[in-house]
Amino acid sequence: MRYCNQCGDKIETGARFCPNCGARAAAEETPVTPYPAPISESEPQPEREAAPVAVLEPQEQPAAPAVYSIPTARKKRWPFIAGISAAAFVLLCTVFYLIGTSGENAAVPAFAYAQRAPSPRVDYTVTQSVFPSLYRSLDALVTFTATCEGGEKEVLIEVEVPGFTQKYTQKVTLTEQITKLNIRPPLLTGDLNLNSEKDAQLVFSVTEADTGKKLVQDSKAITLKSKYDAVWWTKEYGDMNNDNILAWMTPEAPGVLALKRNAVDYLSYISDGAMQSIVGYQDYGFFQEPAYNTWAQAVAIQGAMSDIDKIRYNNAAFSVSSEAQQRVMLPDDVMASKSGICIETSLLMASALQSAGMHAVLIFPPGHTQVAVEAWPGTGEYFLIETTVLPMSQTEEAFDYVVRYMTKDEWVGYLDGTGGSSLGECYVLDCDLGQKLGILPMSN
Amino acid sequence: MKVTEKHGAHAKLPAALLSMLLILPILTGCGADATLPAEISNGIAQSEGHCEQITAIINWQLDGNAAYREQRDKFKESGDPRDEPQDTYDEVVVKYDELSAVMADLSVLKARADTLPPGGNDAETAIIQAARDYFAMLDAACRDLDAVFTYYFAMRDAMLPMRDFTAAENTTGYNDYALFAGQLSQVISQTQSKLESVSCPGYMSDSHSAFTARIDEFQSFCQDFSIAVQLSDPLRIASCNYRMQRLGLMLDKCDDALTDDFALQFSRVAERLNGTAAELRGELLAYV
Repeated sequence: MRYCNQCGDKIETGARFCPNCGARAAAEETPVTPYPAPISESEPQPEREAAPVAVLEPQEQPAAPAVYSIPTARKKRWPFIAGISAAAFVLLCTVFYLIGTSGENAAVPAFAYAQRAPSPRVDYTVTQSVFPSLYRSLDALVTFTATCEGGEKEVLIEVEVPGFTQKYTQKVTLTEQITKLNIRPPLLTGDLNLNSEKDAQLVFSVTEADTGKKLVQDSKAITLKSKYDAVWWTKEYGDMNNDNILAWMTPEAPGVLALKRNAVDYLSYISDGAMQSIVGYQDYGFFQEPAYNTWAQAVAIQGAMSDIDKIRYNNAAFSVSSEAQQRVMLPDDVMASKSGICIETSLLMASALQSAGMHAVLIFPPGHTQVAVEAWPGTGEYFLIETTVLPMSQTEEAFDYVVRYMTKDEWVGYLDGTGGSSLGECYVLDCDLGQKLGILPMSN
Repeated sequence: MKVTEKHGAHAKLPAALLSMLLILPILTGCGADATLPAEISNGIAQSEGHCEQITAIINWQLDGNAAYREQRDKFKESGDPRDEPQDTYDEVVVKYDELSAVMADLSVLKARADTLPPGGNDAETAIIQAARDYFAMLDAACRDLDAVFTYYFAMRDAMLPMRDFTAAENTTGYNDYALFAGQLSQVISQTQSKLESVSCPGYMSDSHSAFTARIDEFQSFCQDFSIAVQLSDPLRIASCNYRMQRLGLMLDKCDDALTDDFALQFSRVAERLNGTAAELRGELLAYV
């Protein structure tokens, strides 16, 4: 039994219209299952197209719901589609979540800093020219600074000037912190043939210790000045350049020792055998005043230069170039060449005095060089030695002229340029300062 | 028409759902997990301002170095007291205070990043770690600058007795050079003692050693000058006069070397801040 949807009157089974109001009768009810319902009235085909998720439905149930009447079908399809969609949504979310938390996902951000290998950065500066005589007081031939971002890197640093220095090798670990090295490779031993200026190559390399990759492979042209080249004045250091001449003081050089030996003969000769050695500040007992021991030894050294070693004063002009550069021979070379200008004979004299343990001072009047020797240790009294008197006569008058005593007051006037015999204001350089100032002669 | 419209609405709804199926997982499953935690995202943004402050301090130092040296050279040439470079100590103190304030701020931000819980997934963990590394970079950069400032203050403090002594000598005048030499020697001893406790950044060790060696030379000079005066030795005194000039010049050179080292560190820190750190900050801010 069915009832009319409009008026509620009974409709006989099989009747298509309500006998009371004439309304179309509803289809036979099949509330339990949709399957067996016969197709009583096909719906228009577009109705089928309204179910885009149909593909998700089981194939065994091909479009069965679509056979129902339109109103009934519309009421029941929406929740079904929503349910399917929600299920799919949850499924996909789960899939994405699992992907997202699977550990080996591609979504982990890749930051640039973490991707980079440790990257060393090397900077360096190279000295353009080298004065060999001052090499031991040179701060650095190469100044190396480096860092390494993003980790550590061990590198091998090598620096060499072939034919001049030994190879400097240093392994360092570079980090983010600055590494700074002042590099001065040790000099080669033996004769370096530095009698004249020459061009050289400074070879510098920095190599990664683990890979052997060259970070720096450079060769710079540098000028090796002659070992005789001295510079007396620069804008940067002014007259302080005078101090560098201490590197020419070579009290242990063979020529200086030979001169000292010859001075013994000269001393013996002028003292009639009473003085048989260069003893420095020791009293021979020959003079009433101990200071005359010093005077006699200074005279003997000058006399040996003059008469035994036959050194002659090279009366060349005080030839200083526009760069205030001058060629100054070492004492050994003065002995070998048997000639020298004032600075050279003064250095030879001062070296010999120092070799004997005496306190020598270089005096630089304008355009000239002389030597002072302390008359006796700790007295502050000095003899002035004019070393250019070559040859020197073997007379007491000549001796007194070459090695002249001056009082302290006379010295004050002599040095400040106001004294009667002064040659002008003098630069004064204590020969004992070499060690203190770090200005030392070349070792070869 | 009505039916068709209904049909259309029905068609759009599942389509929207499908779109959501594709988009939402991306937003929820990946995007949301890979964002910068709010606790530090603001800090990273703020740190850009801190970096600008540090860069300003660095530029002040680098510009100041150049200006100071130029002025000093001018003073050397002219000898005119009006050309004498001014002591910038007070400015340095101000800049150091600024740096300290920035360091304190960054320290808080760094601590916040360091105490973040581990990320919920690999992406989040990576971002948090990157944020920590970022603040560690800034912290290291600040510490490097701080070490230079600390060294500067320690050196200045160590040199103060000598500075004051020179001033006293100039104002009161010393007729007794022996007394002068003795007092100067005492002052240098104090300086030497203070210098022993000054530690320098590692890369500056050569420059620092050279500087302390010059101070040792000053002490040696004092002893020699004292002897020269006691002996009334005109040559030793004259030699000491030139040596004193030399020491002053050499000390200036050492001062320059130290200042160059300061500049080297400041430049490198600037490169780090504006290089890797800035790059990482930009990358991190993309995850906000």
